[in-house]
Amino acid sequence: MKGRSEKDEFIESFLKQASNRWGRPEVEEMKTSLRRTAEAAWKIRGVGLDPYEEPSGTVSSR
Amino acid sequence: MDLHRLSLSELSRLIHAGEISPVQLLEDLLRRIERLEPAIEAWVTLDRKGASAAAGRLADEAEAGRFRGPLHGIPVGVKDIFYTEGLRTTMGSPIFSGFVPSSDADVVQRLRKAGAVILGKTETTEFASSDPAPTRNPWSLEHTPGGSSSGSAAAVSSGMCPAAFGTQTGGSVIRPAAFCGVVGMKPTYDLISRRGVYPLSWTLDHVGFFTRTVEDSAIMLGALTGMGNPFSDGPHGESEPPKLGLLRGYFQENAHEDAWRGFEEAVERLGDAGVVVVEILLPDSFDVVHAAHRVIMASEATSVHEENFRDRRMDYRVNIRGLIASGLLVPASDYIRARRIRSRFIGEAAAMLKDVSSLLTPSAPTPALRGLGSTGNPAFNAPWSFVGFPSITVPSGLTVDGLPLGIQLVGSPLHEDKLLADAGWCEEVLGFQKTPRDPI
Repeated sequence: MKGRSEKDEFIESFLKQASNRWGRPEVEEMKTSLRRTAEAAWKIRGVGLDPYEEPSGTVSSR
Repeated sequence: MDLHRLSLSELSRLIHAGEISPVQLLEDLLRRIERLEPAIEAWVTLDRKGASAAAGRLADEAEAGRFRGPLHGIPVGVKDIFYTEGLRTTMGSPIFSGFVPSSDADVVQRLRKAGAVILGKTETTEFASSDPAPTRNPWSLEHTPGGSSSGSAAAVSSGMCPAAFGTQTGGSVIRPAAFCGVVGMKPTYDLISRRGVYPLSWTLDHVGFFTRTVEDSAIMLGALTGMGNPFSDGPHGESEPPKLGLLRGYFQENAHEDAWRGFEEAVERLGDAGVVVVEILLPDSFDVVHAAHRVIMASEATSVHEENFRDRRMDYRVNIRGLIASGLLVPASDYIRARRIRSRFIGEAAAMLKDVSSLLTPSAPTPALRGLGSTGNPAFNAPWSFVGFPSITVPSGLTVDGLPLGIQLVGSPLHEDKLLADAGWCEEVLGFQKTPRDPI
């Protein structure tokens, strides 16, 4: 599991990318949403997956 | 007779017996909507003209002894992200404020064919995400009705219509149904067609509905899919009490005190009535389910909105704008990783249902929140949207403040008959009969 500081750096970098694209005032406004996605992306990167674990849709009735 | 308080099945029986006509029912409900709508704001567009014409045709058919099925003459509301031919469909967004579809969504088409009367379009959060609609909770106007299917939940709860349609990507059917004290159901992914429903996230979006009783949900599902009614042989549809899998862990840790207390009381009553409740442990992968759900939703919503977002970014409200913006910064490898995590959790969720017919949790971490600034937290529903398993909420009681609580049941994919039968058991044992007092 990666440490907290790495996570903070990741989120900071995510928000910086956003600021470069849309400007700081707008990013401040959207910060809650941006941060939630950044934290989610960070979290799933910590999951160990085997190569045979393929991406899936949901259970489909079709 | 207070027609607005009757269930879909009761109204259907009256129409079939010739005791009321579809026109009389529609007029009764339109009067009620006119009276309550200023306080509740459940509707974006009411289709008085179209509904009256449909009710007239269906009344003529009924008089001639021709019935299209249990939905014959039943007025329903439809969330304003379902395409309706010739009727404005806004998605809760200024970008679509003047959009009039040239065809019906599959669901709407099927409803019309089955004899339902489309009353109009109900309020939605913007693009079925989390920027709130103006709708208020009929149980307390100072509280949110939940979202994103806010208008549909409030309309059924307040007696404006016996059934209404919504969608769920995270918790947008189960949570508002629980907040408003009605039954809400989200069948297995894609069991009900999404064609003509504006997407938020293709692999997470589900069509669902709100009714007053579990039997009404079975009728609605049957009318849309051809599934048989598990209640045709009696109230339980099963002779033996069900075996349910109780989920604690994450759910207990994240539930508000009132919500958990109400849930435990409901579980105790179910146990006393003979329902077998066994505790099921959550698998390790549950820990990342919400994160993976978020990454998929952000990535797919971004793809849905990419063109409009480029040209009209500032026409999006802040939550959906932030969601789309965040999705533009998520690499494809993270999106694929999230979908691989979903594969794993589908298998583990199926294993949780191996020895029980349904899983049992509170329907939401809290009762309806005070204020209209947030529609509440979908965290207890999102895992089941993530994997596409069917779920249903049944009202279980009221908090000390008089706000509804619900229990959520989750079933195995394509086993809606079992899920409905289990929910029917719970409904009968819990016996929640209350309705909100009219706010006006």
